[in-house]
Amino acid sequence: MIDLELQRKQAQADLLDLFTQATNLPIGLYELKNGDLDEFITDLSKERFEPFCQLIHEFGGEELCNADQCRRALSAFNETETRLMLCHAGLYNQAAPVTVRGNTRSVLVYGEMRILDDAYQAEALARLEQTVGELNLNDMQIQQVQDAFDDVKSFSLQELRKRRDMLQRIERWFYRFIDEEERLITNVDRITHEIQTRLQAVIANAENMMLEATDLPQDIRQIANDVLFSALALDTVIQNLGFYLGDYKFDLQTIAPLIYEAKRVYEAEAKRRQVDVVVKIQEIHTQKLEISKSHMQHAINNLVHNAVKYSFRGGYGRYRFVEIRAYPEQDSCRVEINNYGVGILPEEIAENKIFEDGYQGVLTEGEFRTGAGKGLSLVKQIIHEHHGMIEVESRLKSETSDPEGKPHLTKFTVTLPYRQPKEIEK
Amino acid sequence: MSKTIIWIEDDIEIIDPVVRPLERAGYQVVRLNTVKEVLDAIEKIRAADLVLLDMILRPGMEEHTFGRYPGLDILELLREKYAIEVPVVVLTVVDRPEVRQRLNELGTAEIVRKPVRPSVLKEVVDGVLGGE
Repeated sequence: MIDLELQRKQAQADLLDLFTQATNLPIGLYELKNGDLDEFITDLSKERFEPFCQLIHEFGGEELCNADQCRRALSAFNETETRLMLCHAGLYNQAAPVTVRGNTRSVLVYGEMRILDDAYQAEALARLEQTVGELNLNDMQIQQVQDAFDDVKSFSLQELRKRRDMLQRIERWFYRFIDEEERLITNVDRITHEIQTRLQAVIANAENMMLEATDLPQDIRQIANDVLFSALALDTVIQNLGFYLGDYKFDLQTIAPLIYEAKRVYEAEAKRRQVDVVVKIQEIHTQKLEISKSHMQHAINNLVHNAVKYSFRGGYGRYRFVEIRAYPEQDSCRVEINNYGVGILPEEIAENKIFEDGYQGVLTEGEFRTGAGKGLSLVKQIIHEHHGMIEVESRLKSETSDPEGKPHLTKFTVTLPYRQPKEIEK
Repeated sequence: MSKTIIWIEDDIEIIDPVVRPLERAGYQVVRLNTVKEVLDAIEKIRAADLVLLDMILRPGMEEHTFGRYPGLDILELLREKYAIEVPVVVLTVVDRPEVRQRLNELGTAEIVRKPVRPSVLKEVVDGVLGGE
């Protein structure tokens, strides 16, 4: 699953860094978590801390600075307007609450600056003098502090207002997007639960009917069979959306039953496309692999389904088939899924794009394309969990065009080691 | 004597056919639909041979302290408060690593993803109960 929390942190860090790059001002973001203040300052902001502040830290003022910063952030949670605050050492910071639909989501504190206004300058110098006194600095240290203070960036009040407005607008949008994302996830969770519950009923009823109603005519039982396998195919589509695949649970078993199950699941669809699904299995009926059954079934289902849906139709004088081969190869078992139809471009294979999450093949554009481009990325992940490998070849069969497009022979090869994953790790 | 399975599930009216092969094989399936029904049947659960447990359940009562996954809270109660060690097979659509981790800590015989074919569920139950 996608780590949303990490993605949000990265997006937030990017926004804060952009602000610092554009304004040259360091910035910190504060959120309240269970009543405690949570501080977030990016590396770029840390790099831009004023040398003046570093000097004050060096001369014993670090604790005062930290307490001051937290005080500024906390007080701003109760404010509605941005406030200009004078720090204990005589620099100004702005503390800007970010309020979305009446709720203060965070406070941004940025600055370490001087203000180009006589009244502000006088106030700042008085505060600096007080701090220098409290820190008991010697004459040389006082001179160093004074020089560093003179070098601090200065801004007019008008410039500050512009920066504040820009920043608050960006942050408000950021939180709106987060809210929208959360709402979407909650809705998808609910809908998925509803779909899977209904699907459970269909699968249970169809299988019960198939297994129990042995006295019904064959064509009626075939309908139950089609309903069951269509529902299982739909379940594969739902799983591709990134929902629960369950924990990996490895057991020793042969792969042949999983191949036959995938054939059964997509046979009706293949039949409608006038494509035969041919299974050729050599010597692997008895050789066992360490497999997490539900995951491997999901991977094989995806590969077989792709082969079926991207096959050109058969029909009179045009025999078409999807061929699934499985055979031993040294210490491994190989499963090949071959088809004739819509292919994959060489660059999509060379750059591994075809296994990227959300990627959809260029040649599948049009009537062939279904799904959200998530299946193959999940297949690759599952094969890797089994310490296996997946490769793909796709070549144009000839320059001639089929009525359905340029025909490619495409082959996915899955190689799975006979040795147990745990042994390999050792 | 037939073995008893307690099935804790809030969508029983929709997915009841999933336990049909279990009943046809001779298991007695007792259905509990809400958290309240579970709490009222603690001693029945203690005496059962297996619990089939969903994670999402309606409370069935006004006052309750159950969280987002009441099934998890129920398993905690069974194991920690009532010291009930009946094997539990979790049947769920919930995809939360922290939930799965907690389920494993509390001791579950199997976690089965919904939707499941009834014949597969029966295999799992048979396996846990020692091959009926």
